[in-house]
Amino acid sequence: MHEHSCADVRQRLEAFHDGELSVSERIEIQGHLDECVSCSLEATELSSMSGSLRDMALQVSDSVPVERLRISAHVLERLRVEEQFSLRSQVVDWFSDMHLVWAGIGASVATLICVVGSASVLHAANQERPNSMARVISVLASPGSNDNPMRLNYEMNAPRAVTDAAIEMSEEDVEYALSAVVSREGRVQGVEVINQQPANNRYVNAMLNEAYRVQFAPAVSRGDAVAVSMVWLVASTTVKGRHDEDMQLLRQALRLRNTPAPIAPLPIPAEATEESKPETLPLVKPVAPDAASSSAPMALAAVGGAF
Amino acid sequence: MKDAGALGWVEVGHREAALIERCAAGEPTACAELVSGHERMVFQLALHLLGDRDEALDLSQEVFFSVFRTIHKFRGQSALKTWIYRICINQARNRQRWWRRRHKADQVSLEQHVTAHGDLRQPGDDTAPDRAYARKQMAERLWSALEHLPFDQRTVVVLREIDGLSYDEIAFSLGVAIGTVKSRLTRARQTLREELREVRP
Repeated sequence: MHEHSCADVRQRLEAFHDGELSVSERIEIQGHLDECVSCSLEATELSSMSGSLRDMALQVSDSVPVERLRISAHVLERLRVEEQFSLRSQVVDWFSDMHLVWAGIGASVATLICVVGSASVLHAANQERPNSMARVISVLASPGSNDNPMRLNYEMNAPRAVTDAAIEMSEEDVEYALSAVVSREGRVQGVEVINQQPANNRYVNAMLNEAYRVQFAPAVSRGDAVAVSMVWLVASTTVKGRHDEDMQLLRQALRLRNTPAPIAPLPIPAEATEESKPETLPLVKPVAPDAASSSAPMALAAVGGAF
Repeated sequence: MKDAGALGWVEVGHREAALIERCAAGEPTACAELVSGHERMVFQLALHLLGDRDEALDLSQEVFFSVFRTIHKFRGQSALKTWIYRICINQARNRQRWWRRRHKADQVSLEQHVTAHGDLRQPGDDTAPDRAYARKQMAERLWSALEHLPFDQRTVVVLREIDGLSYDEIAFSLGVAIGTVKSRLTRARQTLREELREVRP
């Protein structure tokens, strides 16, 4: 009777053969093999198989002399070539010759200057001078634009003030004409006093300021908003008199205020052939008659004139 | 399961560690030293696994390129030799699949190989001609059986019997557990033994 069963030994026989067992285990197994013939045969079979395989391997390997294959040389050569053609080494190569780098930088800077220069020239050429022929032609080609206001005629809806203007009238008599353009956006532009009387500067300035502030509904021609030239005639007359005698005149004046009719011939330029009467709100706020002084500011309708 | 990978720099000798560092730095003499120190091992393993000289030569070069490309990742988790084995086996496995698909019919058997190269030595010290012949026959039969084993089993046999690697090293080279190594080895030996029994008179 063996100390270890054959099944137990055979289970560990491969590990024993491969030298993977501890010393004590190896001694145990070896002891068993010395006594057990069948297990010993099994072990011999393993050994002879190993021996045969090693022999064959040796023969196969020896049939090809490794040294003559020059694996080392091939590998090193390929490594060297790969290193040579790698991106990093290429970049390093470029910078090893600084002549090329300076030439490259110079060319880049020159190109940049050319691009910036041509861009600025093109930019300058695109800006139209206001007195150039092209500008004049383009302005003339677009009647009704803010630069080329149209003449107001009967086919148009005249501009109307949307917001009220409130001007405190002076007690002095004032009569003057304003010429202006009502733009497509309904704003007053380029107001000029045509016949300014030097004494009424303050009042006229207030009037001008107010005119710039007023929002108009722009003139409409065939459905489109157009800029139009306008002339306003403004007259302010203060009538003073006794209470009983001047009532008639006051009534007359107030009646006149409500009638949007011209009270004076318009300063129409020579080329004007037709005129229209745009309805604008009076620019004058009426003041209630005072019992003591009984002065009554006369409100006169502004008269639009086309020229 | 015993962990085959946890070894550390201790396993790698100081000389080998210095060589690896020089290779990682791209020093050509170090690379040459590494290749010449391992080329025989790599080529023979490739030859035994693939069974074709040109394929083995090509594979060997690829293995060393792969080694140099990844050597900076090597942290002494095994001996350098085992690490190179691992790379070699992985590449051989990939090539084996491709080779099997494309050129299975063209594979050179050992008989053809020996006829072509005619360089086989008489194995052993047995002088009796008939016994020697029988032994040679047996060895060739065994080798042929080895070539027809599945790749994983063949690899285990080659690493154990021919290259003499321990179970630990085989497990690391194949990236499998030691139990898997044992079972593959047992199955492969069983198959080979059956082949031998058929030849044996």
